[in-house]
Amino acid sequence: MAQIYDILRDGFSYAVGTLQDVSIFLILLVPLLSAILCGVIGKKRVMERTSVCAAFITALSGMALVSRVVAMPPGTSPVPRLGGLLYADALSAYLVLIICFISLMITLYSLGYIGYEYSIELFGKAKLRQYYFLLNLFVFTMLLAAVANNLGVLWVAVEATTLASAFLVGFYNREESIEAAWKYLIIGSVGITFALFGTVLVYFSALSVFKALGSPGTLNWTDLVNPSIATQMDPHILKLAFIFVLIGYGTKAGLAPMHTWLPDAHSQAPTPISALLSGVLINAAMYGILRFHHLLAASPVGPEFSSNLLLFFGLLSIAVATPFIMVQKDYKRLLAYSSMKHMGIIATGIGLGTPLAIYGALLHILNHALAKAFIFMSAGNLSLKFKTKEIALVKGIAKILPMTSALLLLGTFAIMAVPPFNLFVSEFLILSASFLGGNFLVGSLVLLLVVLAFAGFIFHISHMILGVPIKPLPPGEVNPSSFLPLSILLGLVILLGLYVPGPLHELLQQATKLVKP
Amino acid sequence: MPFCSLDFGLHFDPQQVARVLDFFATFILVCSLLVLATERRHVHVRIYALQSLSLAAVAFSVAFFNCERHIFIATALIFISKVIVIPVLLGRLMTRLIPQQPVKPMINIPSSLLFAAVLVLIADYLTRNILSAGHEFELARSVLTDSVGVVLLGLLIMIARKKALTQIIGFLTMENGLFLTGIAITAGMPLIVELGVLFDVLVAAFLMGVLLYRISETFDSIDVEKLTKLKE
Repeated sequence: MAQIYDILRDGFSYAVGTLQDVSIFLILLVPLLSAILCGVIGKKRVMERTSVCAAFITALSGMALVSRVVAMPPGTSPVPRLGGLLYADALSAYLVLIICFISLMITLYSLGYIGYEYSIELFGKAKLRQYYFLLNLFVFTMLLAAVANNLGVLWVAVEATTLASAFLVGFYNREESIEAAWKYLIIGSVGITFALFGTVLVYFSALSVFKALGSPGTLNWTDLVNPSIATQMDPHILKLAFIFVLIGYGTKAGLAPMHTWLPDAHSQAPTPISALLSGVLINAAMYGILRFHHLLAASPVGPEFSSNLLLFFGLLSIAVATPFIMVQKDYKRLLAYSSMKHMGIIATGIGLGTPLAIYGALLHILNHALAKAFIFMSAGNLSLKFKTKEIALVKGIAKILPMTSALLLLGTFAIMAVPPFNLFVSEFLILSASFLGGNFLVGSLVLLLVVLAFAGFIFHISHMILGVPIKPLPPGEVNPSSFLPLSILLGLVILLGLYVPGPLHELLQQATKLVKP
Repeated sequence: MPFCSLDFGLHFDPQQVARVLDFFATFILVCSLLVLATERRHVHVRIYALQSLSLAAVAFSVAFFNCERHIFIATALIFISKVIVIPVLLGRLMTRLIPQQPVKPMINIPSSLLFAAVLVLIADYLTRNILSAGHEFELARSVLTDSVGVVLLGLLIMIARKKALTQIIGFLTMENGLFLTGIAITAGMPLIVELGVLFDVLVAAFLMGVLLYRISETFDSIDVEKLTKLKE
């Protein structure tokens, strides 16, 4: 008996070990295969099942990757795969975790949302196939960005996210959505061109160092941050490169003043896609900036230059987003500007540069992704019923959709960082880090803007929830299957507001060291 | 198989090689100016093809004179995608668009050329720091200035001409400027990166073309000025 148990246990740990080993390939292969399958088959049920299964397997592999990275003994660095093209450390594993989990939730939510719109014949079968194909492809490109080691591959992946999602933004083919898709594609592509220029400049400054050491030039991040290379790079070129990279990836991260595509794309895309753009995509772009931030900190330039730039653009983004939140007329745009504000807070936290602030900013990335997906899903149920995005035309949700209105209210408190929700914890960490570090001006400015945004947000949402309905609509939810992902997200939003689980804390601590060495 | 200069036992003076590269790079810059100097859109596409051809020439020269063999692959791909596929796609797209009126510029031609001159001076200023630091350049030094200039002019094309098609040309011009940087100052990025970037540009141009067609169907015009539904 004991022998059988031993064999089973060995077999299990062997299986887990193998899964951990191949997880970095699985998270890329599974969404890609799923996209191809959806593109080829095109039957509604098959596509739905394939996508959910793929998202589930990807999430499991993502967990395996995280457990592998966390369990690594301190001091050892993870081995790059595929000739150095792919690589996962704590920071990328953290991003992989967020992408996998949120995209699983979004896929579950899509079944009801897109299924309902398909059932009322808002679009045809070809469109449905396009949706699932691009959704899986979009997830694949984001995961590729997260585990890319080569900075060129990182760029290719981030540009590919724009290409995969542009037609999702323009999905409904209305005048507004085509306009949004055009703006998104043009601004996104042009912005990211600057990031490529920055990448070329980094390669240029590294090349002479590589040549001097007698090794072939490479764009692998692990080689570039190696002290023997990083400390020899030319600071002038690196500074110029970082400015270009910040403009490029900052465009996709929604940092002001390059944010103009963001509210349009978020308001015009199907709601599951808005949630994915808001909760995940902009974080993947921020991740690109963080990689270069680390590189600059390891080089003779030092961490101050890039930290100050991030701090400036972070504060600017919060300041630009807040008035638009206060006077907003469209509730999906309201959520989009709130994403911009939170990206500003994250950039500010990274820019402050103390370990506490960076920890808070990284935690804020996860917390924002969870809360924003949650509130976007609630708002999606609302838009399915009311068929409008204008705040003024929606009144009395509490009477028509009692469940959704409760969720929307909870989501509002969560996204506005009210305790006991999770965003409060991370925002509090960032603010206290700024006061502890003596940055009283930054701390008070952020606090003031956050309070203003809170007032505006709660004003709009309460007008929508309360009051008498303008048009008499029959009460009743139209997307009941969405309550599964919504309740999981709500549970996590509250749980992470109460405490940070041990493994997550460990992962965050390792990632903090990777943001600033 | 003998491919590059060393295989044939030829040795060239590096300064002569730099002069050849300079010539093509300058021609790429001149092409971007020509786009700004004309209003007819089928001419824009032809100029773009010509610009890409001289980009391919730069790539070929780097591969041939410096024996960077992997650049031969990049040269072939640049030629196929940028000189043939994209211009043909854009040309076919234009025949399907309805009105054939000339592109009315936001900024008229003389002043946009004036702006262009300023931008080239800015490019010179931006790169002067790097150039004066005395780096060991792989190939030609002044190509860096040319390529930054091309990137900035591409941006100007997008701003000065509010037609969707010209915005695509502006974007593609910027990409050409980048390729010029990548090939000329670093003797080519790693091959996998070159391939990925080329693929992305090709897909981006294709998607923009499809979207442009949808814009013309929906709005009966490809004037970006008419895309004004989304405002605060």
